[in-house]
Amino acid sequence: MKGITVQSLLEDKSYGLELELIAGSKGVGRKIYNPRIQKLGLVITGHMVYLHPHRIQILGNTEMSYLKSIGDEEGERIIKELCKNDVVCFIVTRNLKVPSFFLEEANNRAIPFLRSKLITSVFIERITKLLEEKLAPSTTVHGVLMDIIGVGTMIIGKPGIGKSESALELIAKGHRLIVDDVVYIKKMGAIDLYGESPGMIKNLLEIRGIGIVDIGRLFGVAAVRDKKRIDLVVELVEWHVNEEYDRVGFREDKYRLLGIDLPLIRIPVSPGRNISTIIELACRNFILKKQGINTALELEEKMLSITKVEEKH
Amino acid sequence: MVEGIFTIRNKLGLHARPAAAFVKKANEFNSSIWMEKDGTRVNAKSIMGILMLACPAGSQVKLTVEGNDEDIAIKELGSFIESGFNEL
Repeated sequence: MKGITVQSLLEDKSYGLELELIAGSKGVGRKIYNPRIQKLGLVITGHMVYLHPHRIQILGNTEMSYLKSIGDEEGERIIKELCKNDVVCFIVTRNLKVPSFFLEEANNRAIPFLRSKLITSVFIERITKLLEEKLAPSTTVHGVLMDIIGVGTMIIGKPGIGKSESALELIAKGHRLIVDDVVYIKKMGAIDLYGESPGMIKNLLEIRGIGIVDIGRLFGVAAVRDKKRIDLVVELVEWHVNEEYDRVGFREDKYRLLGIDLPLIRIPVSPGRNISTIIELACRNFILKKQGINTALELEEKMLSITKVEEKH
Repeated sequence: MVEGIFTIRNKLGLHARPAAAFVKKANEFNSSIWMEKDGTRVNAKSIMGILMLACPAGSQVKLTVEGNDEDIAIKELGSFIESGFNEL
């Protein structure tokens, strides 16, 4: 299971969390696995029933002012009770002052205590983004990911069927390569899958007979792209005489990945078929379908209207 | 399906040359072959995947082979890895 350390939150520069460590330095190696945070809320009154200790616990004005209002003795009792639950990490916002008994308890139990200057709402928004990004479910798929007229298209198929060769043709036509061979895929939010390249093979393409080439250098910056949402999966399959392929366009196959169904188009490969042009066509048709225009269905409706009229006569 | 864990033994690790040799060998078999290191699994018939794993000397990789020639495939590929890709 993926996890990030509290230390990496402290070191973060790209999400603007503006964090400092104020207690529990022994615990900065603790790992956070849960992408959700919890605003301490009622827990601070001693109601521990819905405390989720494996989530980052956030304290804002509400919690800190309540803690102040009940006095040190009662406050200390609740905090001791709270820290018994082995909370992964506390973060206080608005640069608020934290009572010394709270910091002491965090130190004793090696629970890292962090502070941010940001107001709570902004902080929660930023940290949620960071956690989602870093803890997103991920997988790798053997295929090529390309941006074809804005459609994130993942080309899959058996080794040697011509994925990379098709990609090269598509690049030559002005489309953009995200990654060849090992597509690293992350699930962002509930419905989106994003593909990117592992660092080692970024911008590279392997063409049998030539070897490994750098597309970024050979074709320029516009021929490559870091990251793209995956919209469509194209599977290249060997052409079998006896198999029936979609001739009209009614079939709507799906490719399931990290619990999300992506539209899947199977393209049979045989000599004389220009695969890159067919893939490009599939992408154009995908855009058209997204706009609500389905040529196969339109044709069917037209046919039906005529055949129905003829029935009446 | 058969699986096996093997250790990279040559000094330079699984760099471009042995990767190419390994992929060539893997492609001689009909079976689907996967190589895994630290939870990342790639198709062992593709050089980019193998290179991405960047296995240094001493690291362990898992081979997963599935198909009609899986037994001979894992035996030959496993011993190829253990032999240090003939670089020892």
